[in-house]
Amino acid sequence: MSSISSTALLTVGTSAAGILCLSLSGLLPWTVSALLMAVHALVLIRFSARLPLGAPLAMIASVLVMSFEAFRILEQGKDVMLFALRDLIVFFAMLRLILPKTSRELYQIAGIAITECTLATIATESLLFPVGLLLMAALVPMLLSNLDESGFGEKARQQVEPMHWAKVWAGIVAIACLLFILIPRPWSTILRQGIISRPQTGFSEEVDLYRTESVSTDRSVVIRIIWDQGKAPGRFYLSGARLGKLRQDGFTTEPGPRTGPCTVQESTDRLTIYPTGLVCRNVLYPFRLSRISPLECSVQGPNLYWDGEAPPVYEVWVHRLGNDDTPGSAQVPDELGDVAELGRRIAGQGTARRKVRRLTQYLQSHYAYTLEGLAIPREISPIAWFVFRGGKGNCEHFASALAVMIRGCGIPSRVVTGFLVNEFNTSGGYYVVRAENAHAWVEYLDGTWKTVEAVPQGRIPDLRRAHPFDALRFQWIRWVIQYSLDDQVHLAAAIFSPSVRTEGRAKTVFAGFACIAALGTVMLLISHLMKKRGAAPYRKVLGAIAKKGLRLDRSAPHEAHLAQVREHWPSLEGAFKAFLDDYLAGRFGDRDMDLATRTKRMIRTVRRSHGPPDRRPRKRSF
Amino acid sequence: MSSRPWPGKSRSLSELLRPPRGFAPTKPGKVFFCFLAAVIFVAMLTGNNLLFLIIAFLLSFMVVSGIESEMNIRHLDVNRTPSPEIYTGMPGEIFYTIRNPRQDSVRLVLYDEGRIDIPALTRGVREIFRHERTFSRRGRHVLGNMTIFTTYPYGLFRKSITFHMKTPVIVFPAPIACSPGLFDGDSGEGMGSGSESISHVRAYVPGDALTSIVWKKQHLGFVSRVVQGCGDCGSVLVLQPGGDLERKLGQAVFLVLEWWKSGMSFGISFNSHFSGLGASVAHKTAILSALALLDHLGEPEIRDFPKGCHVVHL
Repeated sequence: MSSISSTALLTVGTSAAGILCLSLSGLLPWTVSALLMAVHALVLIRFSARLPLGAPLAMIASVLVMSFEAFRILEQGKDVMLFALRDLIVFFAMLRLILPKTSRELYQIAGIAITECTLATIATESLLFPVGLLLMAALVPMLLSNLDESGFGEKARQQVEPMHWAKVWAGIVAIACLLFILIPRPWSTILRQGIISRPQTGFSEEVDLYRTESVSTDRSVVIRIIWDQGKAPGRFYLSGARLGKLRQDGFTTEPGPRTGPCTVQESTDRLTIYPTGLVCRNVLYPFRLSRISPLECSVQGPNLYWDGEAPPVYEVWVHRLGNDDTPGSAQVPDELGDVAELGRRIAGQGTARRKVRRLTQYLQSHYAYTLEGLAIPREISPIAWFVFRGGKGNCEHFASALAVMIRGCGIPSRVVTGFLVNEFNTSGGYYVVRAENAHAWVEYLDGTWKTVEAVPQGRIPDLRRAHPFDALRFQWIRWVIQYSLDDQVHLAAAIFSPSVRTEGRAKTVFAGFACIAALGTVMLLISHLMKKRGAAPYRKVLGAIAKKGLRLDRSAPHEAHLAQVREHWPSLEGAFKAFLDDYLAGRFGDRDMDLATRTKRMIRTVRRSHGPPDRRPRKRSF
Repeated sequence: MSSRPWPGKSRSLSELLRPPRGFAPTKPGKVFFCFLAAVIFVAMLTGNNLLFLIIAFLLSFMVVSGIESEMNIRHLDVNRTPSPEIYTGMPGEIFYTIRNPRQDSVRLVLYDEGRIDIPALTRGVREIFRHERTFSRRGRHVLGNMTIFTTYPYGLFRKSITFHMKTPVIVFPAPIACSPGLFDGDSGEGMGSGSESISHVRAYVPGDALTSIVWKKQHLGFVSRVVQGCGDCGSVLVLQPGGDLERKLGQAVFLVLEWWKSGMSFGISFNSHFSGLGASVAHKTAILSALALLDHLGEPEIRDFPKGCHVVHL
């Protein structure tokens, strides 16, 4: 490996880092990446080899590939544009790498690698992506420096001190963090822009009781919730849509006029909700909503919808025991009369609460909960099929059946879709909502709207787990991907007005930045100490000479020291010159020197000698 | 002459306002700028925060590059010394002494009349570089400001520091070898006639010292007769008006150099100027400088040359 030059290593390394960025962002499959890495390894071994692929052939290949990709975009639309771009860049990267390379081509390879990294940033939310970014930030300066010094020969290369690159990297990262915080931006983020089409996962506003495919068990995190104010519960329901209109095929939303959101001031709890992996127009919140920020949403029937795209973060103020007594319906269509009648018989007599409890117990004990898809015939109501034939179903079947049975007792009820939040990440101090937590439950009107769970409770335990990686990812999403102009304003407000409520978040940002700054400072200190350590032998010798009465100006150059010694202490000149030669050769030259031993020897020589003649103490004569 | 970009402590307002560094992107640097502009455009268009992160890294890269290049060329102490003898049409040496007392410097390029690549400067060590320059005309020249630039560390930008200095250089006329029959001069003319010190005359043999050559007005010609037994006499070159001035000056320079090499005393006289006799380097330099700066020739006014010297009319 000794024959591999630093230029080859840096060039191939930079190119490989570009490929790695694409892989980390999910734009390039890992198998393809592995194949390309193998090609990189081959190129590294035979860096200077001239392959029989001439420039004309490369040109023809380039034109063919470009034509193919253009045709692909025309054929399949803009959805494949990103992938076509990826293919083109990777093709040019590999072509540039295997063709003969001069200095110009090496610059091009660096440029292509940076372009790959930039393309990868467009597509990624991955927490691993910064690894590729940092690798690029480390390798590109080294490669460019290597190319720049190639015109100056070996002497310029040997001059670089050992801590140089550590200082450079620390500086680049620290300044980049500062600039990232300060650069003003119009808005955020890739989530809003939707460059990568993200399939809606988990939550759906309407229930689909005829679903033939299995219910998703996708464990990807779709929402994170910070319970800012109030006592955080073990579990809670995050409501999305309230379905009050009952038809033969199940519950659906009630159409109604769009009005502004309610702005009731009384609240018991405040939450910040980050729907990082969810695309839906419903405003999701727990309990009874009092206030919401931002206010770009409107009420339609019992539901709240965003006016435009959902924001990446919003805050809600809620009341746990809110007095929601909006009217509901107990109407049941004729096709579901049997189910309602069954419910009425099971519920028996008593209060509404008691009736509902009996119905719930009945359902939970007589019916099986399953996530599998069901083949329900279209000619029959799915609720009736679940109650009288199937005997098993998912949460939507349970909730719909329970709601119909409650209505059979004359009690208004509705199905609510949303998420059952039961997982708390102790590392980050927030609730984690996964796609598989999508759920449906029932609300019935008993003075106010009460919530009741239809499915067997034992299947949904409360979870308190430590997920440090997810906490880190959340911070990455929150403070990098979703960092916006609003955050900058809040940050500025927190700086100039500590009473602003965002102080806590500002502290987090400042803490992160302070850590980076501290890291940079430590690096600089270490570098300074190492430099001092390198210069220490010479200073020790100067100190020993000073003790003998000859003070040499430390800021003066070495030759000035030698001249002073020659002038004031001629007997020491030879030894000092020999030491100086060794010292300079050892520190700045390419010779390995045992400077410590030579320094000790020189100091011993200085101590044993009588000192400079003109500064020697005169003997008194009596 | 030693110089720093801002010599002394008293800086005028214009100096304070004017950036002391030159800055220009290299070819890869221009591509870098274009790339940065494109990423900024796309970032503003899409609002993609990761693109802002890339922008932050690219800008940070530029900032670090600027800091490193500044540290590389800061505190440079540069001297420029021209060679004491520079002749027209001949390569003359200019010496540059560069030192950085604070830190090591790498990859510097000194640009002054030509380019000198300096791979590395060790901290505190004074290094000397030289550059050859050919001046096309004689006389007084002034070497102007000098620039040191560096593409360190990444070769994307060229940061330069200009040293405001003026170094005068006197370019002597190029020596023109003299040919026989050129001179019309009287041996022992004036008060310094030394004919009485001649013991005998013989034909010139190559290798004879120039001090022994006698200059004859008659048909003897240049270096065709050698005077032996001449004592401690010197030679005075008298420049007469008429003829090609440049050629005459070149021949005068040739003679002065030859006389100086032979160790004899010599002098020159033209117009109202007489240099006196001497054989030192300073004397020679003074004469050559006088010749370099000569504008026109008139009738020589001074005829009182030291006794015993040979007077050569040119």
